[in-house]
Amino acid sequence: MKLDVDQVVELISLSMSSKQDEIGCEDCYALMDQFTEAEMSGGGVPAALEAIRTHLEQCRCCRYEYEALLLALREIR
Amino acid sequence: MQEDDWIIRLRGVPAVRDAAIAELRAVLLRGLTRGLANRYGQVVAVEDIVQEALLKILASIDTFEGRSQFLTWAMTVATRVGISTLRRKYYQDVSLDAFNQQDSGRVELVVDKALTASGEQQRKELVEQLQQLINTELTEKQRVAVIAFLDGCSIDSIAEQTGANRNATYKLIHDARSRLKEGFNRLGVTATDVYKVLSNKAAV
Repeated sequence: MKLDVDQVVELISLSMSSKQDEIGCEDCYALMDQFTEAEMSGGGVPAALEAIRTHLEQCRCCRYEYEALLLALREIR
Repeated sequence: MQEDDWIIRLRGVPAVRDAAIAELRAVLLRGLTRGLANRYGQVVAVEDIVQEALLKILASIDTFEGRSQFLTWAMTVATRVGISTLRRKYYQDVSLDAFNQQDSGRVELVVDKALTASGEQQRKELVEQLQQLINTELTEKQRVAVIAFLDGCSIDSIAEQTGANRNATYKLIHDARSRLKEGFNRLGVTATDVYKVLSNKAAV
């Protein structure tokens, strides 16, 4: 198994930014609707939902869903 | 339509319910057509995805707690259905065996030449420490998941092939990241040190 320069940098960065209290994908999904509404309102995200932002920075799968959801919601509003 | 009306209408008599479903279908179709466009480089059969999403929304409508607007919640459910469908198709030919069978599960970092050429001894040492930590601190399962993730595999795809769910796979990778961080800490390497050393990524 080999890692190139970019992957090495990403891994070190991901490792050093890891936190014990990170939420998982299911918790992120359960709160994604509230988080997205808060983001779209422009009024800031409640502190209780900030863990979602951290998770989205670490998890490509959830981030991808969030980006698609934002586009979809903007389309219907 | 008012927010409360959606729930009332979707639970109403057949004629009312059917009209609400038709309306919801149109909204989801419009949103997903935009949200899923150009995802995973595929042409999307949005109508099929909307149909599957509608079934899921109607089946789980009792779990809607009103913490967001109904359409936000419904679109969140529909987006997950859509992205999951596209992701499954995109990764259907990718196998983790490719990562499993190479080099007896050990990891090699192929950056030595660039590092030597750059003359940055600190970066070279950091990468060597990382390689050591990967091969001593991580389980084989963690190594495979981390390498596959860094190679672009989705967590869903890794989960599917390892018989786990997305949450467990995210935790597996999270635990691996934490072990590497603890390993760096034991070696006296802090996050500040790492970011300082990696700050000029182009030179690595």
